[in-house]
Amino acid sequence: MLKPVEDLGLKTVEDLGLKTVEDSNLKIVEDSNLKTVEDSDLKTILLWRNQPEVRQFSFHSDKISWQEHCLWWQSAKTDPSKKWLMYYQQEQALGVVNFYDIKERAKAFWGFYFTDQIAGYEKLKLWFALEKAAIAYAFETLELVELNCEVFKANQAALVMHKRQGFQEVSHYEHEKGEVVVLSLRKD
Amino acid sequence: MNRKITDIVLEAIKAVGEMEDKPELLHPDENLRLFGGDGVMDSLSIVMLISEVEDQLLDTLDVSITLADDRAMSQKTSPFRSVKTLVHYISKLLDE
Repeated sequence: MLKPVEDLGLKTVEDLGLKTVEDSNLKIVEDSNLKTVEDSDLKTILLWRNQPEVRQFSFHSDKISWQEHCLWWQSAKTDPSKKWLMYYQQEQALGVVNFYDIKERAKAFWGFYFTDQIAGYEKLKLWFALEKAAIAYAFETLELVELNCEVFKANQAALVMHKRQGFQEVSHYEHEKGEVVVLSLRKD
Repeated sequence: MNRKITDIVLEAIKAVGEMEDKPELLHPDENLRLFGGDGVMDSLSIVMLISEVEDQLLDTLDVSITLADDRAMSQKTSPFRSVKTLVHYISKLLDE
């Protein structure tokens, strides 16, 4: 039985023993990789997922409880159409990448969010590196031929960043939170 | 040329300020710090600024350059640290 996160006395990323970028003078470098999410990553992911700036542009913007999070993970970790990965640089977890609606060796959608412990220019560099790593993982490891994503039109920065990596708008649809742009990138 | 580039960058900062409703970006000058210390931009704003500057360089000077790529990200000193460093970086790219 998993305990509520509050019972574990964990409130911030520092509680989890992770250093902030400013504290560690960490440099965003190419030495990075993606590893499958483990149960031990769950508390970190919940802290990141509940950041206001992440919830602002998520389809489900409510704050997620530890219990809901655990229930979600029990289902997500065995779902073959989903893949959750932690993004690391120099052995420090800095983001989460998820692939969903995976059609084996064909196509998938993807999304991501970052640690709450990085900001400014380092976050921009992290964004570039994480997006490149996710695209490489999709085409090389998952052997997809098409990678898609959904972005709220209001999230202009994300649209700009995705297009910079070659994603192209393919359709739009209305969501209760606003217009959603669907973007696609093909391996070739 | 540097004057023109500076004007483009300052106009782009104002445009981002209007788009994002950030009063602190509406009256920029050449000494404005963008990132770090007293910097006025977060990572989302800088993405919008880069895009806006690239668009305005194309519209005004008919030049197409990519400001945010692997090269920019690997610079020892960030080209996006201040208006001055950004203008210098753009000027360098245009000279190549």
